[in-house]
Amino acid sequence: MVKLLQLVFQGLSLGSVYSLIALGFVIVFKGSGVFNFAHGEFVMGGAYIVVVGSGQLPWGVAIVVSCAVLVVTALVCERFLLRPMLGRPLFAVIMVTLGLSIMARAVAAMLWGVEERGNAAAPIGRNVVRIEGVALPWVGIWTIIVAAGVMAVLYWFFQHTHYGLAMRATAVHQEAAAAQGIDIRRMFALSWAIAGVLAVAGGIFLGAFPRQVGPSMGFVALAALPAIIIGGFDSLPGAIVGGFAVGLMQVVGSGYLGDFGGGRFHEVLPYLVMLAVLAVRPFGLFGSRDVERV
Amino acid sequence: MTTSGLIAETYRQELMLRRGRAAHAGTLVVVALAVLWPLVLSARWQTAGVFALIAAIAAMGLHITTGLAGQVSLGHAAFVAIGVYSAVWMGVDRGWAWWIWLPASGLVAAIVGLFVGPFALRLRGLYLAVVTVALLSVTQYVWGVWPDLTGGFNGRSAQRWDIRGHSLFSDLDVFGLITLNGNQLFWFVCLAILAVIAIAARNLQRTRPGRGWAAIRDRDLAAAVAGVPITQAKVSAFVVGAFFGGVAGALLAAFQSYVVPEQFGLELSVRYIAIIVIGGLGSVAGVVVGSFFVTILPLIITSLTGLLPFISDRPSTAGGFTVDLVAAFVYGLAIVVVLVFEPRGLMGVWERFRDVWRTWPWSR
Repeated sequence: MVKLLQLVFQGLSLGSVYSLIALGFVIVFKGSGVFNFAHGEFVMGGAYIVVVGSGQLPWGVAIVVSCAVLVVTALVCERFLLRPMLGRPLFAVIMVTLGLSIMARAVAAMLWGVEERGNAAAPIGRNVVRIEGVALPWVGIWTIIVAAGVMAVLYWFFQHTHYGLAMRATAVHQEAAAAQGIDIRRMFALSWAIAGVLAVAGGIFLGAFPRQVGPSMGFVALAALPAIIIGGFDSLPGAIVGGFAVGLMQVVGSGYLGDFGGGRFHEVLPYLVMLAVLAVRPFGLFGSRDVERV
Repeated sequence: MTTSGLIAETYRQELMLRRGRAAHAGTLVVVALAVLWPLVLSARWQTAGVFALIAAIAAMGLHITTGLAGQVSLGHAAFVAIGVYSAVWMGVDRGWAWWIWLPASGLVAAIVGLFVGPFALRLRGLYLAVVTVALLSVTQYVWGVWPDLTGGFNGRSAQRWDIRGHSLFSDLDVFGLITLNGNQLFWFVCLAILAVIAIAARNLQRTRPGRGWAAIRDRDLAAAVAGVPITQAKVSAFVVGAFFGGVAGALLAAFQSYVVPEQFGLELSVRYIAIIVIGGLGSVAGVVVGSFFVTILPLIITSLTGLLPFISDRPSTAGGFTVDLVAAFVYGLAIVVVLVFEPRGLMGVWERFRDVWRTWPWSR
């Protein structure tokens, strides 16, 4: 029982990281119709800037700097590379973001080398709270608190502000939104900016103890892909549910399936569950069904 | 009367792969380049050339699946890896001859493609793309937990390629005229296989299956209404694509002579997509051009180190402007630039130039 609770806690904390990353993918996809495969590299970049920056600056300032850099990068990518792709086939748009991710990895390696750079959430430390034999690392507790806080802010933003309403309207129907006087281009930019901030938040905790900030983080973030599919590509609650589901599956799976399938079965478990979900609901658990017209 | 080559005047001309005097001259130039490449260039370029040919064979498969039929696949590297390990199993563990493992690796990959294809029936776009990522990670997992086959993390030696007792890696005396080294032999063998596969792809493209694929790429629902057998066409796009990928995998294993599972990840898949995109989506020649561009890019950057002194030709763990990183950056940039500014790729640039030239003086 203690083992199960322990694993569930760790699964929830990993799951909240995946949820943050998945939200970044989904908000950009809903907001501007681009599926941004470079989001994993945004996450990596955010984490690197925090780690490297906190060498010279206080940790909090480094986070602000990282958010600023990421938001500007996201806006530049959106404005100059992805907006010209409006109306082009999905495949072409995906490829642009894949090209971006290759460039981003090369730039990161040029700037920061290929070795691991340590803990992005160092000030939280490695201390552990023990409750009834279950060890709760502070990093994990903070991950869950921050993720819950970010999600609450996003909920408030989308439900209770003018900009949130405008973004939701744009996601539903771009032309109708434009006819209501919404500046669609600004909504595109806004969704990318939000994704940039989410990438920093996800990156800090993806690069937090016991994990490290390193050049392979961009690929780790791809573990959020099954989360997005399980939840449905265009659903924010879906991204959150999917993120937690994948985190729990990976951690609990690694705890209980150690003797099964070579001890690495938990790595593919989310993908297998994703395939099962797709077999039943081809648009994910919370996604909206496409309406087909010839 | 001379024909311009622009308009087919007889049914025989319609059937020709290339027509017009200029096109035939172009074919001759390409053949001459293909023969001269390994004979003239240094060993590094020979090796890169063979890798480019193998990449072209693999990318020809993706060209069918994605370029023609429009089924986005980020899992093509999985088919290549299946070809690699089928060839290794048959060639090393079973000791079978090359004329068994070469086609059979393609067939094994094609059988896996047969099981992936049906996913394309229910899913499209992003969902399908992520399912192919799932295929990739499942195969990666299988290679990881099956060290008897793959050698695990450290990899293992691949099969030798002996043709009638003569290893393809050792020098061969051709009729006492010329001695070909291993790279050159591999070049000509791969060239022959690429030629067969490219002509097959071209002919598939311009006959009934290819027209069905193109219709599906443009709009699968409309294609179904027009009478294209959707199930058959989508699955066959994956099967044929996987077959080419598997054959390329067998060749890759033989030429590398040592394979590590790690090399067949998402990056390799993206590389194949980059090849067909940079070359020009939907064009057979573009696949070959794209493969050479992507494969020799690091060599070009290396030879530029003399001109651009800030690029270091020594790899380093601390980063900086090393050749590999600059090449990776330029390669990513090429993908983005091609898609944003010239969606038809390098072949699009060439066709625009060619059209101006052959309709001169009416083009201006």
